[in-house]
This record gives sequence, structure tokens and C-alpha cells, in this order.
Amino acid sequence: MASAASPPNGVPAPRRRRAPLLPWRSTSGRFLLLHLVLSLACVVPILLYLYFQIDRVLLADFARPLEYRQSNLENHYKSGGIAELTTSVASRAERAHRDQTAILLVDAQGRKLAGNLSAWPGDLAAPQDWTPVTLQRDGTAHPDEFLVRTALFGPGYRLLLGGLLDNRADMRAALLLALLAAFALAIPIGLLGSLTIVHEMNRMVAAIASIGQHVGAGDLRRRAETDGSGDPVDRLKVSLNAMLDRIEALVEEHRVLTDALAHDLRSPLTRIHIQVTQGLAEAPGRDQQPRFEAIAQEVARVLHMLESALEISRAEAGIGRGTFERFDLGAMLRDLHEIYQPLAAASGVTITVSCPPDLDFYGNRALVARALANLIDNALKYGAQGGEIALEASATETQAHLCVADRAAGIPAERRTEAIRKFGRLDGARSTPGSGLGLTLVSAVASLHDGRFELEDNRPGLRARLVLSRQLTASSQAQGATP
Amino acid sequence: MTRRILVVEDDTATAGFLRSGLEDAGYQVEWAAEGRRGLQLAQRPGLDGIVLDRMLPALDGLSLLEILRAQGCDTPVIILSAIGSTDERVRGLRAGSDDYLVKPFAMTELLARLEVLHRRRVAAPGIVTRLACADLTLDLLASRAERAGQVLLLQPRAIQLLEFLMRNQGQVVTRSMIFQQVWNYDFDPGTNVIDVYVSNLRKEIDRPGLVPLLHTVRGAGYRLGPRE
Repeated sequence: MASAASPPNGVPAPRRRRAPLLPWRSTSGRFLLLHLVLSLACVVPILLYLYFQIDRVLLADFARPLEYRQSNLENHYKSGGIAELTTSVASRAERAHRDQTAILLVDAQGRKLAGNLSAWPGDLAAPQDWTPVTLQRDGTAHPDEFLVRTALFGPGYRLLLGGLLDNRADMRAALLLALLAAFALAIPIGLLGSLTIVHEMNRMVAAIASIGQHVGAGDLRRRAETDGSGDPVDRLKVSLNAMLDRIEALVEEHRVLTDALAHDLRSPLTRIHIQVTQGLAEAPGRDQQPRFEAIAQEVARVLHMLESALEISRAEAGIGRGTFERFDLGAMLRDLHEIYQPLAAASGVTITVSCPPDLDFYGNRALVARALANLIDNALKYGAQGGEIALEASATETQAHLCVADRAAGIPAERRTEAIRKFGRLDGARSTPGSGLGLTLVSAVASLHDGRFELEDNRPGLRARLVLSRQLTASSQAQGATP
Repeated sequence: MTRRILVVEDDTATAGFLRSGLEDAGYQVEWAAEGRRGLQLAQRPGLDGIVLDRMLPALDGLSLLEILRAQGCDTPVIILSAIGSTDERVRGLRAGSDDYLVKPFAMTELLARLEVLHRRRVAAPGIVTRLACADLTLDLLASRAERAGQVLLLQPRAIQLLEFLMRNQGQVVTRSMIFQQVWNYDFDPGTNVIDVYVSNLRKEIDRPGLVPLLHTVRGAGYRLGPRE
């Protein structure tokens, strides 16, 4: 079986892959958009304010000469009455084509007294402040846009003064263009700013995430570098470090506790073992010998259980990642085949091996071998009547699958979890020697390698599948996990 | 010459067992019941080996070993440990021990391992390319074994097994030593794989009519060499 892409036997691996994330749904994407929108939201009111202020200044510049002219005409009216005003307007109208003004004086009935317009625009009131009006001056071919101001003199005389909007429209257009250009420039600059900030933020988060990854991979000594500034990021790092200190202390406590437990339980057992050995050597009375041997066997069994229990709790706590090394899983399967074949042959079982060449793996060689040995041992104990045991290995980029499959009765689906549980021994297995810890150890070895352990239906028979992560790399272990 | 062994072990029952077993085998035994005293004794010249308990009062076995190795002491050390976990074994070997034995252990196992370490230490330096035992020869470069001038047909694993037996000829090697050396695994296979391989090897090297070289030592293991 050399399929490298899919797990053996066509059993699909549980789906863990999520739908690809749309760029703006990611935190970075959202932050980038938010920052961009906010920076533009700042730029737009500034540009609008600028626009209106500049427009106001331009209008004042435009209106000032006309206002001056109007006050002159008012003075003429005051000194010489309507006759002098009419003369002034008429003389002004003659020069009006040069400075692009519109001028008109009408009486209370709306009759033209002087000016360069033929009639008073119908809807225009007097007095009236600056307002845009379309007017056609005498002697011009087409109407133009004027900014107009009107005033009222004495008993109903109305004066209209207007400046051609031509220049002002051009300036306004130029101003608008300049502001739009400024706005257009604000987008890439804002984007660049956003990208820089997002990049910086991501770098910061990635540094913290990398600490988490290293610790998760077993390098418990890794800490975040703090700068003592006390800002939220620094405080986050400080609390992360405090948490990691606690974890490291707990793991170390666990190690010390299990070591002490092992020592305290093993020492009396060792003494019993010594006594039995000496007893056997010194008093080999025929009738006593089987009894001594039975005691020795029981001691060995308890020691074996103790060792398994310790191995499990250590693996579950992640102790053992410090001794990871690179090895070939295929070679290990072939070794195990070689080791177990004589025993299998004695019970009429054939062991087969199938795996791709060079299945490189980084992990705890001794524990993986022990886990596989436990599975083969189990298959030989409970699956021998199937006559065949298959050892299979396959791999994807990220995972290695190791299977030990037999062709016997198997375990019903609803009882498989129980079989993996600590000291969980199925009824049929209680009569055979064993600790009830074999499969728990396999499960602990799986979790030590960020993997999982599953029992499946081999139709017929039992397929024990050990899935191990291939992403625990030597570099992520460089510091070593052993405190 | 009598070989001198230092036993550093805090448990008096185990220490007594070790002392009597080692003395019966002809060793001169010194004993320290805690780590600091053990370190003092270990620093004295003329020791042929140290049997070191992993967990000791005052100074832990691994720390003692690290100090000793840092001082340049190369006396062979076997760690005796109540902790059988594979991880601990690797830590022990990394700290500089030459071998690691989990309690409880059989005296024959300890004696066999001490003997292997002693031989390794006194062996002439230099690269050995050819091993010989009576009329049995093994060319390590060509992976070719011959007995009485006849080439033996051996699989690679059988060659490895033969090499280990020949390097330790004349002394007892246990099954667990063979398993650790030849297969390089630590767990107890609980199978007769070693017996099967040894028996196959014996069929090849001890053909009918030749003097038997590969002997089974009851309750201990195997020994290669002419019958003593």
C-alpha cells in the first residue's frame, strides 16, 4: 500500500479544514479597511473645510470691487439725486464691457434708466445679496452667468450690479481639482499607513503566537521578550510569561511527583524481587519453587503496570518531547515485523508490512515503537484467530498514519472508547494477562505527537490507527523540552 | 587484578544485594549511601566502574554524573533507576552514563553489562575491521563471515548479532543487551525473537562436525567462544 495522499483503507480523516477565509474577513483585512476608512474620514472634512474657506476668500476678492463701485454710486445718489446716479450708471455701462460687469438702473415701474441690460430680471428682488443669475448684456451674442447684487434707492429706484462668473468658475474648478487630487493621494498614503500598522501589529502578534507554538511543541522554557514599557502589548507578554512560568512549574512538579511515586513504589517491589531471587537461590525446595516463581511474576506484572502508568502520565504532560529525534517509520515497522514474526508464526499468524519508502518522521522513537509494539501485542493476543496482521504506514504532508489491523472479531463500535480508557479492559480480555493500560499508552503517545488514536472496523477485524503530526520539527524543538 | 566498583545507592536492601552479588563475582566494592559522598569516592583514581542510583539524597544521580563527566572522568557508569520511562533512559545516557538499568534487575544482567563496559574500555584503540573467534572470522568491511574457511550465508541482522557476540566473546550477553544493541529498541518485546535469531545463527556457525562456539547460558543469555 503506497498511497501517500489518502489514509489507508479509504477511511476519511475527520474534516478539520475550514472554508478559505475571504481577505476582508480576516482580522488583518478588517483592521486594514477600518484604518483606511477612518483616515479617509479624517481627510474628507478637512478637504471640505478647505474648499469652503477658499471659496469664501475667492468670493470676497470677487465681490470687493463691485461693493466699492456700489458705494460710489450711493454717494453719487446722495450728492446729486437720481439724475447724477443715472449719469454715473450710464458712464459706467459704457466701460462695463472692459471689466465684464453688468449694470442696470430702473425706476419704480421697472423702466430702464441706464445700464447695459435691456430689462430687470423678472424674479430678482431688491435689495438682494450676492446671487447667481443668467443675464444677457446689450451687444453680446449670448447670456452669461453673473453673480449679482441689487440695491434700492429712494422711492423705488433699483440698481443691479453683477460680475461675470467666468474667472471664478475656472478658479473653483481648479480648486475642486486640487482637492480631489489631494483626496486621491490620501487613499494610497492611507493604505500605506494601514499596511505598515497592520504589518507591525501582525509581527507583534506573530511573535507572541510563535512563543505559544514553541511551548505547545514542548519547549517550555521559551518566553516573550518584554520591554518594560507597561503598554497593553507589554502587559500581555508579561501575563503570558507568568502563565508559562506556571505551566513549566506544573510540568516540573508532575515530573518530580511521578519520579517520586516511581521511586517509592518501585523500591519496595525491588526489595521483594531481591528477596524472592535470594529465596529461590537459597531454598530451592521443590514444592516452594512454583510459589516463588508466581510471586516473581506478580511483582513483574505490577512493575510493568506501574511503568506503563508513569509512561502515560508523562506522555500526557508532554514530557518526552525533549528527546525527539528523526527516524524512518517504515524501517521501524520492518523492525517490529522482524521482532514479532517468530511469535506470530508460533500462533499461526502471518504479519505483513506495507509502507512507502523513506517515511521520514520526527518524534520520540522509543515511545512510538512501544506504542506500535503494544498494538501488535494486542493483535496477537486478541486477533490471532484472524490468521493475519497487517502493519501499514502512510503519510500526508502533515500527518503520518500507522495502522495495525487484524482479521478477527474486532470490537463493537460502542465499546471502542472503553477499550482505550485507562484500566479499561473489555470483559473478554479480563482473563488474559495485561495491565489495561496498553491502548491508553498508545493514545498518550498520539497526543504527545499532536495526533490521535482511533479504533476502526476492519470489516472484519479491528484496525488500530495511530495518527501522528509530521509538523513537529527539529527547529521547533531546538531548545529542548526537558526542564 | 581485582576490579574496583563504586556503588552509590541509598536503599540499604538494594545496596546489600549489589554488594554481595558483585563481591561474589570477584569485584572489590565501595559503597556510598548519598550523592555527595558518592561524588567524593568517584573522584578517587583507580575505579573500574560506578553503579549509580538515579535518585539519591543530597545530590541527584544525574547531577553527580554531569559533574563527574565535566571534570573529565571517564570511568564507566551504569545508572540504576526506578524510573523505567524511555525518556529518563535517554536523559541518563545524555548525562554521560554508559548504560542504564531499570530496577528490579537480575544480578546476571548487571554483571554482563559491567563486563561489556570494561572490555570496551580496555580494548585497544583504533578501528577494528576484522573480528575472530577460534576458526570463526567476520570481515566488518565486507560484512562477510567465515567458519573453518567456509563462507556463511547470513542476513544483515544476523551479521549485526554475530558482530555483537564476537566483540564480547567469552562473556555472557543477555537477551535485553542483544535487543538493545542489535535492534536498538528499549521496550521488552516479550517474544522469543532473540532465541529465534540466535538459534538460526547457531545453525550457520556451528555446523555438524565443528566445535560448538555459540552457547546458551541458562537463566542468563548467550556466550560465544570455545567451551570453558
